[in-house]
Amino acid sequence: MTKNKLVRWSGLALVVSCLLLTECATTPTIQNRQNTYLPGLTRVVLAPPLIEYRDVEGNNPRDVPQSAHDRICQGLTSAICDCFARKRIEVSGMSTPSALICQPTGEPLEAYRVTKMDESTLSEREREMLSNFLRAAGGSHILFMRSRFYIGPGGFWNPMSGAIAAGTSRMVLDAHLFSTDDKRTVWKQAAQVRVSPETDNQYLATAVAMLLDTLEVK
Amino acid sequence: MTQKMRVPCKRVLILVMSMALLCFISNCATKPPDFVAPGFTSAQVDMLCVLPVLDHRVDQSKQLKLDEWVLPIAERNLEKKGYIYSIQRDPSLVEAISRDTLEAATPEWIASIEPQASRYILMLVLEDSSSKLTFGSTGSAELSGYLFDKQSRSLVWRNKELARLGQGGLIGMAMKSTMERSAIEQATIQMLRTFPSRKK
Repeated sequence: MTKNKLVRWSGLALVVSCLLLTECATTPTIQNRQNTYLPGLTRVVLAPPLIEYRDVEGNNPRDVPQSAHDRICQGLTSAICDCFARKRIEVSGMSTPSALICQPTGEPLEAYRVTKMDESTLSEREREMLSNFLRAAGGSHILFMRSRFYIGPGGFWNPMSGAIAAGTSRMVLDAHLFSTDDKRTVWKQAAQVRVSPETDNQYLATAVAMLLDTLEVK
Repeated sequence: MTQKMRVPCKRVLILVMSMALLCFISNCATKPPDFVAPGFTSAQVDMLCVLPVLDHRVDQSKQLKLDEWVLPIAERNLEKKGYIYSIQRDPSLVEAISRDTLEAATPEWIASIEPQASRYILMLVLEDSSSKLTFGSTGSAELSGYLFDKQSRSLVWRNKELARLGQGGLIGMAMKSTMERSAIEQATIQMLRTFPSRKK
């Protein structure tokens, strides 16, 4: 190999490795790498996923286009069902947020999903409300999931996919599983992937799988 | 004819230069903070307590020396702005504070923030940071700042800053390891620039 060829090939290798490393940036990462073992978990009630758009610069909420909301919601739900099916866990979904109205008191549990992802802030009464709701729904655990897109300024062309991706946009997926018996959150996890919400749903399935893989039942 | 042409050319040149200067100045201008409580003035802050930096990144597999990088910048800027402050370095003070707790801070929670003796508490939170290798390297950091008044049990100031840095070419590629730190430091500088001064 002549010196010129060697230089050309090493240049090409450098460019390819750079592009590959750029692609790695969209790989989901999870918060807690330790697995949680929950023996006897056979049925989970799935709360309607909460989907939020936020401005990365001011952290202010943005409106979610209905089409995007439906697409992400559907993607999340089917990814969760697929993962649980592999673990032989039955999933019963709640189609509308109104299903979260706790009977017979009629008090909404919506506030729990919106503002109290942090279980430590739950009052004893709210814990009791959740437990009663789950008993009525015939489940022992309820899964809450929140998908929050942080929309950032600027963007760059991803040469591997051809898509324009905003370098500062990211999606954070928060999930927690509340148990009736324990009256507390028994599993909590978060995953992050650097994508803009306009890209396809495939990253959702990957992020959900990565998230739920830390939940072991057998 | 030539003389006549020169005058408009000069005017156009002056206009272009003024616009460029205006653009430059507007870029340098500090954006106002996202929230300042009505009636809050920096003169009320007799003593400011700065807590250790909260690390709210989802992926914390990469250890960052946040207190070492961020707090000295905070110290310098607060001193310049005329504050009397104390810097806390005990990580146990912020361990239990989650992203959601901060976003939906209740009066009860605000009153319970440690240390008990301090009234004004400044929290700096790293929300996300990254560095990328492209045909050079880039770094980005998202930093939030919260100032709580424990006496009135309320949030009195809040801001979020996003810093993005980049360097092209081989030099940029070599700088990849320092890009994340530089972006975090840049975000801290931007954040404290928006913090109200006590000096008149």
